[in-house]
Amino acid sequence: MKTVYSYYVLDIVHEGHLLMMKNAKAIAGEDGKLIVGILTDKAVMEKKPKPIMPFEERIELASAIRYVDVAVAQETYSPLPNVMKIKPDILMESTSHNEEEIEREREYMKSINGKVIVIPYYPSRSSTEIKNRIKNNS
Amino acid sequence: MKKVYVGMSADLVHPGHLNIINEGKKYGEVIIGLLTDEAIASYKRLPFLSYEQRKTIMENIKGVKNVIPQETLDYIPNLKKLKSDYVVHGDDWCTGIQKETRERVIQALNEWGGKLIEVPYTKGISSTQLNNALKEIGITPQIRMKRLRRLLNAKPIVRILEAHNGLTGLNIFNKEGEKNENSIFILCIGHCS
Repeated sequence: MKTVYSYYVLDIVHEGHLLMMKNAKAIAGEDGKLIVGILTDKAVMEKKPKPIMPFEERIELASAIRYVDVAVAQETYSPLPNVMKIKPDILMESTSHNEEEIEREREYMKSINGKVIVIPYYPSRSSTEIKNRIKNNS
Repeated sequence: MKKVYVGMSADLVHPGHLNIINEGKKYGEVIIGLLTDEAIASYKRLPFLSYEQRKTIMENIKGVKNVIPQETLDYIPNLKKLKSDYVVHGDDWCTGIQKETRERVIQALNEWGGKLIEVPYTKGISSTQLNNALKEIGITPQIRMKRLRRLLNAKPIVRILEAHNGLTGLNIFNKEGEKNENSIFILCIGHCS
């Protein structure tokens, strides 16, 4: 039984998120738990523009997705503060994130006998691409 | 288990959709009748996500038993096939373009003793909000072309207009689409000399 932590902005739900969550849940196993961290607006704004959907709606959507056992607020862009509290067996990361930061996460996960699993990012299915299409419609 | 039918476009999923699904769950198995691109384009703009993308998302929402295509704005063909016990919809369709659809749903359900459940409409994210928030994001000709291709597949063609590239073509599409609900258009793109 494993606990897996995976984090998202989840501004517009798309297939890329679902794929990541599906993989994360598969890694957790049938009786394992997938805990999803949803970045608060403030956390998102450390690196990106403010999300369009309010935090409350984003976390509600996360809880409604089949693979998600628990959705929690992540108050920093880095997952580390939450990871230190939750102490999951596995932290899911994306190739789109900064390699140095992933390295720091690896070190911490190692210290608690866990690990980081990095999954490729699917830019063709990103929120930005969807937002482009929306903009194009104006 | 009772069959609960929910027709929706589910383009940008928001808590309003979840609210309807959760309400439906109380009555039985929720079957989503997901409007195809063509069905949506028959009464409003083309959805941002393709049918397949929207289907994948809906299939992964808790409480959804099954997702089937609804190929027309009219619910009747699917309802007759399923003989669903309930239809759940937001109460926002009592007026406007969908009023007639609502009347027909009630009539059809009456044939086999089905019931329409209406839940208070939850306002979700609007395209206008999105547009305002996205002003600064750039757009590539590739995305524009792809979108135009989808539009051509989804909208019935009734009139020929000439455009010389994807950008003007799409502008015509959007303008004409706003003016005419059951749009329109035809395009000759490229060097139509």
